[in-house]
Amino acid sequence: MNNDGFDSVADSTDWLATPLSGLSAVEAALRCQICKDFYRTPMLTSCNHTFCSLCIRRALSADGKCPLCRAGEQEMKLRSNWSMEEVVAAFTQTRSAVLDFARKPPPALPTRTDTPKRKTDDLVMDDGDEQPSSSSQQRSSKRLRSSARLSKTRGIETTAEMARQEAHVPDPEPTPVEPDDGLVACPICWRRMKAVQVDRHIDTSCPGEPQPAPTPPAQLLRSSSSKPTSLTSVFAPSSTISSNNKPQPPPDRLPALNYSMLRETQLRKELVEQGLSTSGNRGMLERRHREWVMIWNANCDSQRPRRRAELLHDLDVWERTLGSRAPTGSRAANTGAQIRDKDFDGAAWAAKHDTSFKDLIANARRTRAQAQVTTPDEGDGKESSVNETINISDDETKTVKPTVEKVSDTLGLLDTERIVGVSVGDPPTIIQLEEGKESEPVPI
Amino acid sequence: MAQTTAHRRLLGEYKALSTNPPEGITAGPVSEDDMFVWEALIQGPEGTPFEGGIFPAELKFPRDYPLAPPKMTFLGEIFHPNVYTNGVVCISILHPPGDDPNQYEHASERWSPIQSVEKILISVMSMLAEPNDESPANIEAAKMWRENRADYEQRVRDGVRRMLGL
Amino acid sequence: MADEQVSLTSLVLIVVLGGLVIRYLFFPSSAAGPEAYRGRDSAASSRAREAAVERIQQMFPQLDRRAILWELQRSGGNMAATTERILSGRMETPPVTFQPPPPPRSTTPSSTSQTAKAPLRPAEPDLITRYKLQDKINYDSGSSSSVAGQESAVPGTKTKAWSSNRDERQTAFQRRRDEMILAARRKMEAKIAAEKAAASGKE
Repeated sequence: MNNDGFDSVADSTDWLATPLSGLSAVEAALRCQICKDFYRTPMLTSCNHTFCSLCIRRALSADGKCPLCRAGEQEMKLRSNWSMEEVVAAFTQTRSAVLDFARKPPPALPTRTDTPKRKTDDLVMDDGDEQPSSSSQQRSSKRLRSSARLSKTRGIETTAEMARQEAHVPDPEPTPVEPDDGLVACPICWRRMKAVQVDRHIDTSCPGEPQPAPTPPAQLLRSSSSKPTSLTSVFAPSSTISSNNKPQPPPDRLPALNYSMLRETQLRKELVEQGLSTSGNRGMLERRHREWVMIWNANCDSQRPRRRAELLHDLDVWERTLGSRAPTGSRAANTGAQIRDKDFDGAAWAAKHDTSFKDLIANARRTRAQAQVTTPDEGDGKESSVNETINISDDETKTVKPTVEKVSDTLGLLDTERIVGVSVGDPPTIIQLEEGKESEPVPI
Repeated sequence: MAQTTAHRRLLGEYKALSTNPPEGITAGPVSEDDMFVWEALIQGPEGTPFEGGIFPAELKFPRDYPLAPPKMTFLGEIFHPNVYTNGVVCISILHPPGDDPNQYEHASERWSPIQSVEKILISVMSMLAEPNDESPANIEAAKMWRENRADYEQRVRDGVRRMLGL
Repeated sequence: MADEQVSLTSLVLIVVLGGLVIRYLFFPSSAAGPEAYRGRDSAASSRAREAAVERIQQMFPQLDRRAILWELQRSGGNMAATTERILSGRMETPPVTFQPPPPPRSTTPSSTSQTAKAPLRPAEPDLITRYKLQDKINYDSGSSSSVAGQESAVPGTKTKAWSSNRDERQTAFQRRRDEMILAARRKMEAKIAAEKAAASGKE
């Protein structure tokens, strides 16, 4: 845990100390307001706000309202915001390079103010004696070009090395070029990125198979020499990847279950069908299933859905932090802040239903007592009024008896086994036990 | 990569508060071993009896932060209508929308996942300046604030000095 | 799916019967409808309302009390209709003006009021004791030049407030914290001195 990507705690304040402080607002706009990370599978709500798919699904399951404007919202109404995803992908890719550039002290060269791109290219051209490539070829490789731009400030020796790399670019049969630009290749898709980004990339945006397309300088070169517009396609490599991947049909979404209507056995069956663990009490099963549905459906929104195993890994992380294997000590300390949190734990449920069940017992006693009132012995003078109530009470007792049992049965569904055992098992016993003592209606 | 959303977000907020701290606020985890317990120092807002004071507080975050709000407790003596005598802060931004014990707060003022530690602390700072008379947590303080403002301010000032060891 | 349908119908049945029971129990003589719900006996009606809210909340724990009360009011206190509407997703957000009646104090779960009941903690020591700053106070009051030196160092520390090393981060945080306290104390000391001077000047 000492160095688990603390460097990756990039946020918009990174820009504030640089001359490009205006980019702080740009970056803030590309981050989800809930997780404060860059948008992952951004979704548009019907009130036109954007959040990560998983974030908004979690927030909606807890509250049912848009976190920004608190307008009512439903998961069904969410729509993908793919343009935002592309913007984020493009920005995150250039971010570290731009940040590095911005953090360097301003160079003494007076070339900075006017058309730096052109100047940079010229500079490289000048430095690299053996530079055989045309300027269009240079433009074709964005990464190398931006590195070249950086090299201007780094010093002559790196500039020369960059020039040497540039020399490799136009090679029609590129041997695996390993530019010494501090980047490493993703072991799966071979895309190049900073070492610290690899983990996150594999988790989030890796297409999952070797991509011959992403870094094929030769192929890009060919197209770039013919089409001037290819510049943009080079700047958005992620979109080309996604289009490669599109034929894959999106997985089916899971429907949300109404847990209060499911028996525990059905819920267990449901979990087994999904290949999930069935450990823990009923509350835990519900929460696990809910979390899985959210992870799964959020993945369905993605342009590049991840594999099931990765989703299971996500659920495992959840299990360790919030689920059955969560550390209990701090959880107890935090209950105060979770008064109305939807994820009640078992004890809270039990306490809650305990009172409502007492209500039901009291109801039952009451009807019992009312039934006794109808017996003629207690008539003393109020015959007529009592008789009036008899009809009602008779109907009532007939309907109430089964109802009480049934209602407590549904409560039992939501409840812990203990209370079910008491309530459904033998409601008549309770009433009979109390029969002698209860002569008056019990006030509820 | 076993970082949860809550962990990552708290780390991010910690960083933002360190690199770009708002005026009069210092906050961070007590120890990075447990990112879910923070301590914060809030400066008494100027032009109020709390001026010049420093008020330490503890923030405890739930595991599903930011879906649920943290709980904030002042660690020292603080005499304020909206702070319970045990230090627990009663402010609308720390109440989830569903939970409204006092029935006074508009839903728009309450917790939402888009809120942050910084916003909480700024809200608490402005609460120090302007107590919310409608939902008093410390009845004695509320009564004194309403009926005998001079005594209230004197008591607050004394508390501020005691807190600084003077 | 068959199981689910069965449980749906039985649930609806239960809800309807439950609604009937409540109506019979609490409004034996009045006709069904909103009037019955609003009732003349406010205590009984509030009990009934609470019972209905409680039951709906058990069925739909994700809903808050206010929303349930609003739905109940819209349907004239009819629990079955309310449940139907919630199930079919035809819920409305209550308007801002809607002021739900307060929950009865006795039946609210203790968690909402536990903060108030929490026992008084023993008096906390002042900040200087808490953060063990006695030495630094003496050091600072000893020479004012060192104070100035420290203060000028603050901007420098701010720029590298975030380090990739967690120990450095921790130290930086503690330093900022201590500096904030010490600066406040120095200010307060100066203020008290000024007050004293002013007081003695008057005399």
